[in-house]
Amino acid sequence: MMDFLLIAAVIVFIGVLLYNTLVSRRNQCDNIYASIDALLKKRYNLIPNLVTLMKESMHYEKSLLEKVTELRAKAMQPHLTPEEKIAIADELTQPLHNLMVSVENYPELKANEQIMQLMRALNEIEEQIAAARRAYNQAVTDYNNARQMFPSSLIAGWFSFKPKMLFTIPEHERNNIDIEKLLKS
Amino acid sequence: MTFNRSELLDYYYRDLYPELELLEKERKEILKKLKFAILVIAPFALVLMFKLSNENNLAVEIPIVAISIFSLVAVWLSRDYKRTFKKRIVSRLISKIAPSLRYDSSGKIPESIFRMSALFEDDFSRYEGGDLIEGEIDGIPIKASYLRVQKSYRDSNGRKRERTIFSGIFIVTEFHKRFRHTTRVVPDISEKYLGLFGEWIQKLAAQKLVRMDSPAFEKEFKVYSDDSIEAHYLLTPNIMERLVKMKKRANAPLYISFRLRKLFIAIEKSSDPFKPSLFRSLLDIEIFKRYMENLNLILGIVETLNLDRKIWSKE
Repeated sequence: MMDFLLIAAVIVFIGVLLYNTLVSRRNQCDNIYASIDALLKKRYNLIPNLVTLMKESMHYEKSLLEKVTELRAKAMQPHLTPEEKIAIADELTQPLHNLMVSVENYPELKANEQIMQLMRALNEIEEQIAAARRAYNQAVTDYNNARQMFPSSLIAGWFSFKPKMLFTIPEHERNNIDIEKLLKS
Repeated sequence: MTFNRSELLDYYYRDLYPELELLEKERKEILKKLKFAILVIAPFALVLMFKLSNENNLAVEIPIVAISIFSLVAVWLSRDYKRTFKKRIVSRLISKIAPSLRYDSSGKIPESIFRMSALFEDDFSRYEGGDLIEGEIDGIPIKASYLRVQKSYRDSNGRKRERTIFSGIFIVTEFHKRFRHTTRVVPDISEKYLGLFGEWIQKLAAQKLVRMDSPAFEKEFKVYSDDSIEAHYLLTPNIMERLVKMKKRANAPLYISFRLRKLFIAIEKSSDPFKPSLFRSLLDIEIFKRYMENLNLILGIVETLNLDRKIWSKE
């Protein structure tokens, strides 16, 4: 009887440990997600000013500016699920990147200090978002692995730990923009 | 910073070689004196060992004492030679590569900067160094020197011993991004020394271990940071790739910390990187190449880690 109790105690102890690991990994994902959410808000706050200032000069980039504005409006809708937020943020990354690169073709924009200040702020936020995405993906991978691997997969199943979605990391984020080069060109 | 190897080799044969020949003569003189010192010390030690062979403890310690005396004599005899070598060769080599840099053979990175890096335990008893290189490379301020930091302790027999906390090249420079927290990058092997480093590892462990998204990088390093997003912000895929390459080129353990707006890099080396060789010919091109390699590690840091890259936020 004692043996049985001892084995049961060990099993419960291991179960608790596995459960706690899963919880801490899920919390880690949620914490990083909260930071991404804050960074995305900063990003969305910058966009209207930037678009207004750029609209005057960027005649050939009208559709790009419209796309950015449209996606921003989409992102500002209330009651979006985290998955929807991630999808919109992903979709917006490429047009924003293109916008930053296309500034190159407009010397008058490069001479405008107000625009340059906004671009600097946007670039820093974009780099932070890129970093946060990578940190989030790493945390999600760790969490998903724990969810799927035996024996923690049993606990995950019993307590319905749901899988989490990864951000897609665009290829250009592997190579950040060299601003120096961009401004000189 | 352009580091043209063939141009430097030309410089070596054209301008430095005559100086090296003079120094080589001096080195041979020192060797002669050292041989003489062996002839004096060795028989004396042997006689003493023979006489004290009944007293076990003393007999064992005599060779250690003899080697220590010999080392002291070697250091004393080669003092001027070392100084002259650094003044005439290392100093000229550095000003040839980067005329704006200042070199001070006896200067070293201040203790406060070593502590500021938070890379190693700061409770040390001996802090030595040399070969301070200071100035700007491609507009980025840089300070580097050789450091040897030791801590004394008593072994199980109560005897005083010294343990090396760090020995190697220590570099402090600026990083092109703003950051608020501390992020440390240490060799993965540090885990093996858990027992030895006790307290320090505990302190390090107080920070969160951050898993990075590069398998090649993860194989070489462990990252500890107060903020995992900031760690990813600083260690971009590009920087991680460059650090792995740097580690391979240095072929030595590498420690990096981002702290208080500075970037600290420590490259472990068992001895002074610009020490003139005593037992090998100074005219040996391989030795010169080793100095160049060490200089390249220090002066090439801005280019290696792309530190002069400007981003919008920090100008």
